[in-house]
Amino acid sequence: MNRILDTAKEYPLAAISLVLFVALAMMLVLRGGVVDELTMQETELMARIQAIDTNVKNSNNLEQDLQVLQRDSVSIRQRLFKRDQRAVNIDFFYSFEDQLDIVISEVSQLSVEDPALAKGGPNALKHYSTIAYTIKVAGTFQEILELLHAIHQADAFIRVADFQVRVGTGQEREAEHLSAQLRVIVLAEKP
Amino acid sequence: MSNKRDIQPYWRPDFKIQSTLPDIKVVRTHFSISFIAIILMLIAAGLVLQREYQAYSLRSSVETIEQGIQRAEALDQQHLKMSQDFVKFARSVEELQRFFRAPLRAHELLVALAQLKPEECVFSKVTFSESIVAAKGRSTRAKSKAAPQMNYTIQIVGDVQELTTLTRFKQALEQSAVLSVENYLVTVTETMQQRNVETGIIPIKLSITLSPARSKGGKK
Repeated sequence: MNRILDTAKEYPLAAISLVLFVALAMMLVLRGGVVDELTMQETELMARIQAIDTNVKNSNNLEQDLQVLQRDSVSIRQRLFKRDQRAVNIDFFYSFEDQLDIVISEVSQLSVEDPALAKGGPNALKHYSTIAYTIKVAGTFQEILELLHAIHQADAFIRVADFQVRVGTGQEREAEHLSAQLRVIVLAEKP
Repeated sequence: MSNKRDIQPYWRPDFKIQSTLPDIKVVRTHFSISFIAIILMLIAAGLVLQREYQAYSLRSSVETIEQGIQRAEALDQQHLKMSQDFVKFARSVEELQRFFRAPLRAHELLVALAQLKPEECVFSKVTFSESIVAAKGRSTRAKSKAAPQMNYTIQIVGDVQELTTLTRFKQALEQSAVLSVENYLVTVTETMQQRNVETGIIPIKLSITLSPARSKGGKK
């Protein structure tokens, strides 16, 4: 110990420098992680600000697009069948009689949902439900065709899933007189 | 070599005390040690200063970015909310398209069949129906993974006078643009009953099936 003190006394400048060197080296070691930590923090924040910038760029015209989409969505909702209005819904199909001068003999609501559009089906729907109807109609080929087209053009969302058109039987058996049975699916509000 | 042999030992003892003698080296030891120690200290100080300056710069940069984020955060949240709403509404519109997803429309199909029908052919019944087909796959696992798909069947029952009429009609159906639907395989099969001896009419039945076509990768 004395020898060290003697050497320090002999070289005071070197001794002070050495002490300072050790202190600075310790400081370097102890505070070495600060820069890494800050660099990491900066990288994360840069990524966050870049994400915000990208969001800003991507949301260009988003407000207007959203407004259009909201309007469309409201319009779609207004055109959906209401499940609890059974009579109104069935009357909707009978109303084609007045429009097309056609005889609709039967409209019946089916109790089962279309399996293709139900959960697990190939075209399963989540936001809407569907109601299936069977429509029996008699008329000429042109009248039946007009009915199919009218159904396609209707305000409500209707799709003809199955149909059968055959030559009329019994008293109605005429070359131009046909009978048809349609299974139509209507888009309805979610219950 | 001869010079080395000539070196003689000290002929008298050396009484000098080295430590008390003045340092007469060109560069004094005192100076060298102090110089090296100071240089080391200066290097360490430089490194510390450089690190501290770097940390200071990073800290100010982080603060600036944080302030920027704070300013943009509210607007970003608003954009994110709008984006979520957009996705929600877009999905409901997308579902509408899915609802109408079918390769054939009833009225278009009937018009096409009426146009393709030869004059000599008489239809007594036309049926169109859709059904769900289970996934086709070699393994049970592949079957369970693949989603079920739609299959469409059109059946035409009628009469013809000549079998050539039926062949012609079948060919017309096979080449029809209405029935050539993308991703679907069209199969037309005909069956006929015994010819009525009195009238010469042959009852026929045509079955058109639109089944999902397999893609090149084995998936459908």
